[in-house]
Amino acid sequence: MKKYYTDKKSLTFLRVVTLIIIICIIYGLKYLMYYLRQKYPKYFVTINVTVPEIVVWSLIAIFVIAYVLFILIILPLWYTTVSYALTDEEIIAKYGLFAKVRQYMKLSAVQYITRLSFPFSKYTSFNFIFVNALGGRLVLMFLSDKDAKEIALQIDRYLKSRAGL
Amino acid sequence: MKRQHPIAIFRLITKNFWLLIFPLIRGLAALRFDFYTWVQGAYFDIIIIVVILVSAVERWYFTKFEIGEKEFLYESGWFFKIKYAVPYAVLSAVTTERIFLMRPFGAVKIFLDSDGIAFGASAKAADVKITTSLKESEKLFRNIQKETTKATVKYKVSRPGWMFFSLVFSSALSGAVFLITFFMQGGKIVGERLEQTFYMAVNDMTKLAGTIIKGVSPAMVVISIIIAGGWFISFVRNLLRHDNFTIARKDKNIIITNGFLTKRKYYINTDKVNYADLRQSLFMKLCRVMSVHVNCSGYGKAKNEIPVFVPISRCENICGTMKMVLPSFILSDNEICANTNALFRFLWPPGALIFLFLVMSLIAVVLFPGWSLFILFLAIMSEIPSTTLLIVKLVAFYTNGISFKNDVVCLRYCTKFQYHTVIVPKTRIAKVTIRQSFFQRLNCTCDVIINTNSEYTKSHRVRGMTLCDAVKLIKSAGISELTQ
Repeated sequence: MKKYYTDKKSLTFLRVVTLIIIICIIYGLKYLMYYLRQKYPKYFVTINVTVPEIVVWSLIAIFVIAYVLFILIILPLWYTTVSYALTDEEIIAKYGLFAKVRQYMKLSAVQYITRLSFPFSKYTSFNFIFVNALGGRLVLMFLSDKDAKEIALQIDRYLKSRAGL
Repeated sequence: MKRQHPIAIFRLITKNFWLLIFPLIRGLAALRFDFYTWVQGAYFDIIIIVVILVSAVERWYFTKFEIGEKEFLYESGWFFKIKYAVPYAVLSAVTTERIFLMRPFGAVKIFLDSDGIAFGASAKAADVKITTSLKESEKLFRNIQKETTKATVKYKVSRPGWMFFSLVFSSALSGAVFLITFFMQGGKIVGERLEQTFYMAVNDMTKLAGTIIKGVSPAMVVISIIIAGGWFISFVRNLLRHDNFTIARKDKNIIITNGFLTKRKYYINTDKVNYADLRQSLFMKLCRVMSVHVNCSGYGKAKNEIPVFVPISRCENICGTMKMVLPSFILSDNEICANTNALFRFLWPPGALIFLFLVMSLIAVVLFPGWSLFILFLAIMSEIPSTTLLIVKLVAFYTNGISFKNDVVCLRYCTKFQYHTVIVPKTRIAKVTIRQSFFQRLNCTCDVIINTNSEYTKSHRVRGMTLCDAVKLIKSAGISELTQ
């Protein structure tokens, strides 16, 4: 039985991408405030703390808190819980931080697999394998390029041998 | 290759045709059959109707089929031509339907289905759907069962017995859903007249009820009509559907016939049956009766159809029938049951509902004292199902469980108000999931979710099992080499 884990490269990539997106959103919100100040100068001069300012700063705070909570704390912890195992007879997936999930799928039940790789997946580890059986699906997420190829090849070999090819 | 029965053209006509034709005919009648003025005013609608008709005729003309010795050939379309062959060996279910209105024309609807999904079709649709003559449908059944040599074992449900069970156990809810759908869909076709008739009936009923019991509000009457009407419709539908129910086994094949107005005949390949589901409500459990449903691609798949294998009967009768028609689906006692620590997980949702309705009713009475009688009625009406649910879940806590014996998995669980005893051959299990929520991790319990082979995702969730027992059982049954 060989065990596979999620590749940390995908976590780093997710962190960087979400950080860039949040910076862009914050910049956009700040620009919106700047635009509103230019358009309605009288309103912003007369009132100390304006409604648009409260909304914009609240949104920025929500985004920053969400980033810290989900991307910097929960997601890395969730990554440590994920593991996949491939035996001669079955595929096992274990994951879950708050709710612990263990999934077992017999290879004999597998009908076909789909390998989904994003562009530059070699560097981002955005590789997914969808194992499809009649009545169920198992998703193996954030695998390294090498692991994804290895798993796909092994299942493919099994399916071919089962079909007598 | 042959074409479908000409009556198939009516089946191929879209619903929009009927939405357009009735107002058009009404318009023509309103104009006292002044055809010229009618065409001038409604020429666009007439063009659409002609296009719909031409399209239906075109689809009928270019759809052809052939019932071969070993396979069914199907061809449709002229611009994008689809052609495929379905070998009889891969068929899981074949259904023939003789609708009441079609019977004088000798037309039969045939649905062929396999575990796969046909090109361009959804999982919920049959692989092949054609309308043909009775002679052709008989030829199809003859060819499918060609290799069958063994004698037939037949079981017929006694009419008075199941009529009594239908009368007692018909579900008001499913009938109410049908009633509401009927008013919504019917209203679209015949306009507001249907709703107006309903309101008038409610008005008359309110007056009548007012003379018998003082202080009856129209809302109470509407709710009562929906419940009573729902139950009655459900009973009549059960009667019409399951009248003349017979089930026969010939070697590997099961033939089911039923129906009063619409005669149905099903052929099921027992090798393709994914699981059998023995269903009971709380009341049915008390009376020791149940019904059997099976999951087999193509069986009971059509709209408004239920995959009933054996209609409501006494438990002893059901067990006997199951032994006769599905001998490998053996029922066994629970090997593991729900953990005592999981009791709260069973009881909190209905408990919360009871509390919620109570609080809401009290708040409503304080805010609207003038409506207190109606609020009290609503509170009672909502507390009855909530309390029933609490009892259902309490019973489920004692009955839930899993067993693995004779290469068959037996799962006992409860969904909403219904108890399920699911029997699955080990080979038909697609996926096993053990799920532990945060609270379940504290008391070492888990939910076992088993996905069975099916055209669409179908899972069975047994709640509140002890984690180590579940793992040990699944491991010992050879379902998985799992480790904790």
